[in-house]
Amino acid sequence: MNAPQSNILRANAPGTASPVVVARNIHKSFQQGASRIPALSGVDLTIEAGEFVAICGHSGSGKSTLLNVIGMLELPDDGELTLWGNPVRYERKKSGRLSTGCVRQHEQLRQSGLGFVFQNFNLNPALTALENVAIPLLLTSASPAARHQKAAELLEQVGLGDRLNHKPGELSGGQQQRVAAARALVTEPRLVLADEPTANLDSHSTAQLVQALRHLNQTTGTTLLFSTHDERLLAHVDRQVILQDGKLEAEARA
Amino acid sequence: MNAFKWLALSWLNVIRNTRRSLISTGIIALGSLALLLAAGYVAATFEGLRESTIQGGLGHLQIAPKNAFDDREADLQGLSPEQTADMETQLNAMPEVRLTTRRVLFEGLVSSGDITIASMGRGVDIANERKISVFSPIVEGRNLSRHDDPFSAVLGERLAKNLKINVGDSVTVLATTRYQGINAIDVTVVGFNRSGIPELDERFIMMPLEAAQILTDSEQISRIVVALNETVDTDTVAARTQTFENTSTRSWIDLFPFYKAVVTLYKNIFGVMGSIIFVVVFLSVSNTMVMVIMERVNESGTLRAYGFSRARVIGLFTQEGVIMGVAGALIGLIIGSVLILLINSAMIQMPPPPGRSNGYPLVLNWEPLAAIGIFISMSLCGALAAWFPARKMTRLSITNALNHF
Repeated sequence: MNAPQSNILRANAPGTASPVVVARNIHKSFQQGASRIPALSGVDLTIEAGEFVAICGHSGSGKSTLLNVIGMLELPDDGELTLWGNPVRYERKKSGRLSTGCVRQHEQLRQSGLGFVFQNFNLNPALTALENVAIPLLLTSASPAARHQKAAELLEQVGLGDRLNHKPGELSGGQQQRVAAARALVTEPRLVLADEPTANLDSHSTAQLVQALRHLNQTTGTTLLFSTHDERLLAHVDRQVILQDGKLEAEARA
Repeated sequence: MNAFKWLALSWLNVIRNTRRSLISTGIIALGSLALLLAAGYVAATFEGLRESTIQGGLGHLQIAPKNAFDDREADLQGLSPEQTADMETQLNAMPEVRLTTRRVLFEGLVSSGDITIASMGRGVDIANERKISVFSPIVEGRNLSRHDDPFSAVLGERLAKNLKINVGDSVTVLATTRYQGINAIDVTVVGFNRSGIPELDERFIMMPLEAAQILTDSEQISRIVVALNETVDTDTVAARTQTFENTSTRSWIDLFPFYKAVVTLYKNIFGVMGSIIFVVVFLSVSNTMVMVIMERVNESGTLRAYGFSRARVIGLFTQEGVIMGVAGALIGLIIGSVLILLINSAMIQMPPPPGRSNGYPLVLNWEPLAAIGIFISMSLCGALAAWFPARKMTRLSITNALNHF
């Protein structure tokens, strides 16, 4: 599979020693009525390659916002973000919108280096598991056969080798989330961001998903960063980052 | 190949979302069908009016003495028999010409007993006239015949009614001669005809050419009427007849300006009707597409999170609209074509149009240019109906789109 590599990404090939994520003094707040509610207040975070890291904290502590900022789905009000050695740009146009160059950079970084697992799976209900997993590969130059082969391999690895042609509606919540995990990993990203991936799953499905993610982390070396307040997950992580009221409260290594 | 993979994804979304795709495609198909039938009806109406006008006695071209169409004095001069024969020889040598016929025109009075009515008379070459005036049917009695006494006539149905005469009765016809005198002849009425234009039927009298020449005391010919094999050759032949010396040529469209007015009126009416159909289809498809796309905001957020550009996401949704537009247009055009065949073979009778006294069979033309236009506009309609909401949808931030349920 040939993932498109931007100039930025080629300059920082896998195997370099730089951390996958370096976030410095990240601030983010949201307008709510007449007041601004701070979500992140000067967060510093570094994630090394191959780590399996959980961001913990109570509801409203800023876990999802931090993941969204790292994934360039949200723009920080202030602070610096570097992904595998590439400083993320935030220049804006006069209108206040992000400049076209920045939008392109974010798209390229997301295409080639990031995978996402969402709380609500976000699978296309019209497509089969195989087709859903293969979607991010459409942005590569891979042939249809290569796309399907890669997607099938990933689904096999997450234990859904016999569900390739099932649509999301024909799968359980846990199975759907494993399809989402396979989709996140299909482009062989440097970093997978998972926002509360087990929030909608039962214990059995949670165990299966965690096992699948951990397996992929160990076999592919992909860095995994996820937000959770699920105690069952924390036993499997390399490191816990605890957020409270938008600030990094503590870190704990396994 | 690269474009094909995006098309393949859009195609999958269209065929897998059966319900919404069927609704959108069905609306577009219905609109295409309605537009094809409307266009076919308009074209058939224009063609019917044109051909009935030409074959109702007007011919494709009429040749008269110079300025005769505008100057009554010049019209009285007429064409000499030699000049007429010379022009007929030239005309009949042209491959586009089906036939020519001579006419003597006069205005006068028709009397029967105490009743006298102003009339418009026409002396005709019986054999050829019957081949040109195919849309002036005889409603009572019979048409003029070469074997008749020259002093016989066919009268307009309303004229005969107003004169209170029956077939076989005699009437007296008075007219001015070429030398400004008054002459009168008695003719036997052999039949009544109906042109379809009530005003003409109240004034019309037709008799053999010889009788009209005796009445006008002249051997001159008022008009050479030219019938062509194809109406489309009218201008070509007219350009050649303009070179005939001391004559004026008028085409059927110059002699019947009402046609242009009717075409303009119909074009306006059907233009508005077509626009309304297009707008209704566009709004209906837009409405469906807005619902469909708003159900899929979350999907667009996911694609963008994975690095799909905003333009790419809009493109994917627009392609779905194009697929449904193309499919709907093709289905509508195919069903419409079959319906046209069925309607034409059913020979449904329509009521008489304004200014006419007889009805006509409902005929719809299959217009290839209209079909191409409908196909393009309906495909565009599908594309636009998807493009607008997709554009709006992708203006949402990625996180808002991801959390949209």
